[in-house]
Amino acid sequence: MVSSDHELIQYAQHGDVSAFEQLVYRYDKQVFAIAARFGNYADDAKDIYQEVFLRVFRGIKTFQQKSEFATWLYRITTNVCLTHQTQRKKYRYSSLNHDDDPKQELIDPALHERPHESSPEQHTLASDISFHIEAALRSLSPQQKLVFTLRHYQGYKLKEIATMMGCAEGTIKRYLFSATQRMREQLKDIYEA
Amino acid sequence: MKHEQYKEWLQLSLYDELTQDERHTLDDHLNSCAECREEFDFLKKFHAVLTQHKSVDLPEQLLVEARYQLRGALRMQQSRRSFWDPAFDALREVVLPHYKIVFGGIALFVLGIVLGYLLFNPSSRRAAQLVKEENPIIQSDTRITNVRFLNTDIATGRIEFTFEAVKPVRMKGNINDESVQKILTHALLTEQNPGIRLQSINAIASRKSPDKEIKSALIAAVKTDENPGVRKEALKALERYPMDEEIKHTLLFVLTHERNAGLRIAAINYLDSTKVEGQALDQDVLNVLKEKMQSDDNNYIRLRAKAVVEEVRQ
Repeated sequence: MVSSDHELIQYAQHGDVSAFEQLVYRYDKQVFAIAARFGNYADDAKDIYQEVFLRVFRGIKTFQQKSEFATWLYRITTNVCLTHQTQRKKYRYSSLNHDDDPKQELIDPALHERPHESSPEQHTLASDISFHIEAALRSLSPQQKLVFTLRHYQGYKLKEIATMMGCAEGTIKRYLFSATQRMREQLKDIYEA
Repeated sequence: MKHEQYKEWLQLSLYDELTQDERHTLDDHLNSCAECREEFDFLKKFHAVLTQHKSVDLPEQLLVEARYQLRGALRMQQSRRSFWDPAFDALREVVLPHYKIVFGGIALFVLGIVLGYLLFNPSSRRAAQLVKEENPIIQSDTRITNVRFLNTDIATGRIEFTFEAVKPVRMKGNINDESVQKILTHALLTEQNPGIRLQSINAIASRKSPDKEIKSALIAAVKTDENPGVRKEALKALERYPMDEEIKHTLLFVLTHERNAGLRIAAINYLDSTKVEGQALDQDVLNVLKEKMQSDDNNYIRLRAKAVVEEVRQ
């Protein structure tokens, strides 16, 4: 029989790791998708994913189920994303050998197969545009990028994003608007070409 | 209303995030403002370009890797829990919710006294100095890797960096010792070399009595280890444990998700053996076996599943 979130949380609160893992597998695809979209590298996505669920694991004992588990989880996810971005930035500016680290696998849509694009020319063009879009995304502030990613790529409503990030809906609207304006500036050469 | 506000609404309308009133106001405005109409046309195109290039089909393998690493980290977290943790958890459940604020205040007060003592007591400063001098990291057999500079200020000479210190440790002990088991369980989940993971399983399997934590590690290996040889050995080691819900679900997981036919056969054999020991196969197991006897791509598995199911029917 399939256990409800509520039951799994209760088991996890009493130290049942396999119940916790079942809970993880219910939501981890969404968390990983957010992490992957938000991080620039595969390792970033995996780091964010792990940090999110370790925080959940550490905090689940005191989780009182006053809010939905998913709301709490996504709140943690957005916090980890924002913190990770800050740490990553600090690290990037100071690391001696970041740029030539061969282990860093870039998450770039251009690197993945696109079966609907038939010719190599189309594929190259699409890859080129994707590359520029990714670069424009990287130019956004962490909050702008997170809001844009959650709304545009993950399809969450602004109200949901506001709950996740603990902000007013109006603030989220401003982030989305400023993010799009910035993307527009960054991609000016592409759409004007 | 300001023009800037309409621009924001134009964008929000593309995400279907306007209220009905806002939409009507915007439509009215668009009828009378050529500039906004042009802006709207542009935004539609821009939005389409962004949408067209948004699909990143993440490799499934990345998620599998992330799950695998998380499992290892969770086991580590669990093994760090001390003897007193369960007792403290129980105390917290019973007492703390009511007196959280009082306890918090007292804890903060005590922390303040301790910090003050540590900072301003001369003898403790000397002790801190000694600790630094006897830093266990700076030993001849310690390997220092992955140095990363965080902050460097040439003017003041202050520097901050991180590194990993690896110290070889030689350990002798009995497989029934808890510390030995913890290290081997950790190796089983996190060691990169599959040979070491296999050796860890073999060592763990020779343990006299079954252990809950080891069982969890073996289940984790069966489900997520990338090497089929390691998965198979872990499954074999699990056979020493009495059948329960957790093991049953692991076997069903193998039957439904495992690509390696040898492992699927081993899972069926394991289920079949529990039947011999007098345990009946429940409906969950029978459903999966029925599905296997009809649709598994391996002929032997189809026959084997059919044989087990038919035996139950008789």
